[in-house]
Amino acid sequence: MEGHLLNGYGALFMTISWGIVITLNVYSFYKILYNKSKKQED
Amino acid sequence: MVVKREHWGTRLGLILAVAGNAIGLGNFLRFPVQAADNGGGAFMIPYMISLIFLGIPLLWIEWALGRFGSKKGHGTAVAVFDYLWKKPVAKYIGFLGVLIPLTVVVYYTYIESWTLLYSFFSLLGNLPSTPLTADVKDYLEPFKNFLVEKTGETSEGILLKPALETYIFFLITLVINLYILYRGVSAGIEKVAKIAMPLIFIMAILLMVRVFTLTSPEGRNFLDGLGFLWNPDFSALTNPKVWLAAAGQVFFTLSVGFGAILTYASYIKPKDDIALNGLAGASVNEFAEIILGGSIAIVASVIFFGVAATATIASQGAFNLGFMALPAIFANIPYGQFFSFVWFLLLFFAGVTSSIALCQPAIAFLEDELGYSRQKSVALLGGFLFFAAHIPIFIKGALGELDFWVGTIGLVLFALFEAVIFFWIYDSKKAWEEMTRDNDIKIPKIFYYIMKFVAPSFLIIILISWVIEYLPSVLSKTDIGTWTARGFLLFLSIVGILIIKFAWEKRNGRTSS
Repeated sequence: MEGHLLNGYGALFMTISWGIVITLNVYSFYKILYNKSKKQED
Repeated sequence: MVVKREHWGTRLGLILAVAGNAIGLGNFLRFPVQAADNGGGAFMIPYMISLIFLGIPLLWIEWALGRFGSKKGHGTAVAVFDYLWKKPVAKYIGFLGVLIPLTVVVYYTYIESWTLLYSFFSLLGNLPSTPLTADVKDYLEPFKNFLVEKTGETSEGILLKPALETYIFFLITLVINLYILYRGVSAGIEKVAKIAMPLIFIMAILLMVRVFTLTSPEGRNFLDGLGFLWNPDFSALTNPKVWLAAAGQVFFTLSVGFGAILTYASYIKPKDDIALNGLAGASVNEFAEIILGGSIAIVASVIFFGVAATATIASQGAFNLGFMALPAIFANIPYGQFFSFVWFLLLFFAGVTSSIALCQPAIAFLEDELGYSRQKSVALLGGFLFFAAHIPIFIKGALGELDFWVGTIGLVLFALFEAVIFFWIYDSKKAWEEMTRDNDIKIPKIFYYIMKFVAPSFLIIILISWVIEYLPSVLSKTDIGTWTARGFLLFLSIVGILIIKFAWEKRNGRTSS
């Protein structure tokens, strides 16, 4: 039980989950900033 | 007298306030325990599916209902449901959107005050400290005794006898919450969110870095902790309970079904975006949950106590992890006093940003439906919370009972009403138009079908399974504390119904239409 190091599958699931979360954050805040600058230009 | 409704000062402030509402103790304590207990990395498959098919759709529904309310000058489901469904009963069903957050905040503020007390005691070095022993149970015993002593759970009879300092910290916490609410939406809630949210992230990252640099004498490090949390057990995917646990976690973490998002969204301008705001708030919350929440408590526990002991601690509940295991770990690392202080302060800030959101529907109800000023509404709420909180503070079994009816079943029921009233009773086409207008991003058409068919079905399955799983044992309880909690809920419901009846009659003819 004690030997429970992060394995390849675990690392894959962690990377994908973290990746989805980071992508969502980058996308939503990029869109907010993009819309803000667009509205200022208009 | 009609009170002029407030608006959010900035878009960032709104998103941080909404994220602050969602980010609570559950992100840092409940999520890692649920993931570790339900298949590790494999848990993220049902979690992500639930996020797309349940969490985000319900979030957008609640945002849309709030913006609809903003257009009409109302900030709770009481009036919003009344506009959507031309039946007198609609506004009484909508009262769930005030009753649920108001009841949750009665005991949530009390639990929140424990985090402030622990933080203060950590700073003073007054938390228990024991030398490392071989047996984890013995090691955790002083920390368990400390919590029990502070909350008075050892006392015999029906009354709990919490320590005086626990009561004082509850009063301080209540005053802090009321002061923020008294300042208002923009100058109070938004301002606090702009300060507290960055602090929450800074403190969580600091703790994460500290946990990732911990090693045990046996040679365990953060990779063991991450392995415990993330290594997938694919057999868990065939277990329906794992899918329900994931759906429940998504539901709780996004704070849908409380009515608080609806109220927050009612303070946007009627032509403001909801789709991108909702998505941004959810993204910030998921960052706090999956990346930060999954990298502190359970990882530290595995490094310090090992996998088997952590599994035992986690199986006894998330509170054991946060209030016993973590301070026990901090007691034996360099500068542990400081990290313990940071940990509980982080939980306190996460708690405050949630509890003020839970209070706001009641404030909005008093302001919008009875025309009370903010000062008068906050004073009434403060008086109510002060007296009502004595039930979970002093009566044994009341907190658990309240949490079951409002914090578990009530949330799912109210979310189901939101989806059904908006998409089935009002008109699904009009609901979709209302939701997709004036947004900064386009909500894909597939979400129309998800909101109309998938999300309500998902909610019905969750509701039925929870009723089957928990209701028999809850109903079998007949102690005084349980009945006090039930009586309190009944009393609140009756008072709410009478107030609504009075408010609608006072408007002279403004009936359900």
